[in-house]
Amino acid sequence: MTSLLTIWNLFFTFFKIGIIGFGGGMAILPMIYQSVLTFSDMAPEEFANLFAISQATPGPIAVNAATFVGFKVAGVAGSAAATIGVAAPSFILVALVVKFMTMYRNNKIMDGAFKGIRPVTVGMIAAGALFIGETALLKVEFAEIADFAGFVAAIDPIPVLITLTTLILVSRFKVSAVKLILIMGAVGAVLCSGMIL
Amino acid sequence: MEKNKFSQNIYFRLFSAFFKLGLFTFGGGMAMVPLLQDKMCKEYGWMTEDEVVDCLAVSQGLPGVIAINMATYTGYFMKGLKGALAATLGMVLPSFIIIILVVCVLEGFNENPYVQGALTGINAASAGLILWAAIKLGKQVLKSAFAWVVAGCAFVAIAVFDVSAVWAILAGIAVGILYSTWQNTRSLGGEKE
Repeated sequence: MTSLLTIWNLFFTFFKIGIIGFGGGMAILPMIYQSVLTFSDMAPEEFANLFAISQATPGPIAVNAATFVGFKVAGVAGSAAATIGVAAPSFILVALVVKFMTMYRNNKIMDGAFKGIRPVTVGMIAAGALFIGETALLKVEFAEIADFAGFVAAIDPIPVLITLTTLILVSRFKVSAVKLILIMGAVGAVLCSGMIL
Repeated sequence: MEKNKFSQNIYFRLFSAFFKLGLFTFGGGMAMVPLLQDKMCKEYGWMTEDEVVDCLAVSQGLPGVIAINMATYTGYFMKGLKGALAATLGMVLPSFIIIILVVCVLEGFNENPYVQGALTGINAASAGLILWAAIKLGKQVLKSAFAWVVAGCAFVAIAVFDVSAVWAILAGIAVGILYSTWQNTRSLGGEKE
């Protein structure tokens, strides 16, 4: 029997995580565990599962984690409370900002701000490609690599081929992103599973 | 006919667009960028390339879950609060359903080597897709020396020095405002030294 208090605790915990979880991703998972332990006795092994499952399932990691923890602690109602909690701060803040932006669309300062933000976004997305590439294309973490020979040895050739093929298919042949993800997921299941090659 | 009408409803289309985004992106945030661009500009024509860049900038710069920020931004941009609600619900629902399914039925599925292989393939593809998104957006945005310098600094700061995206965006706002004020005073002041 889960109490209303537990449901409220879940909502409130994930609401706080939704506020401070800048950038999200894996960094927020330890934070989630600490806060959840204050009102429930979720086992460490279950929490270890959270890392793997949040990454291995589609959707934003924070939302996956909220649903997972909420469900473990208090069933479907718990997962709903946690998920709404984690999404609510984003929702409120972004809605306010977009409203504000449309009000001041022709303001000079706003215009200047966007002149600076847009190129930052481009740099940021390029950096994002690098981060994802690091986990997929190298067999060890980049920080552990000592020299150039080590770097060459750490490169995993099949994922590199997948990245290059994807790049060619999307740029030259305009294949859609969803199709490419499905195709390369299937290719990876065959070639990167270690069961065939 | 009735069903056809419903599928044309803008709220339903926002919901289903973000439902698909939630279903086909792994890791959220950055991995969503190429799909968002595809859907918003090409498939639905809801946003121009510039408007997508603004959406990404705001979503990355604000606290909270980036994917939810993107959904709320797009929904609100299109149809106000109700649109934001439809898009956000669509974004969250795939995670919600899949996680509960995994916990109840498929626990341990992520240890399966084929699943691991598929994830490696998907991440490798994502790296290529995100790189292409950066190139496309770069062509759109980097039209002046100022923009190139700012983008380069942001890339180095984030990729090399691990600066958080929030600080990069805040710095971008400051530099952008300073630069455009400087440009304005220069064009007003003529040949001021």
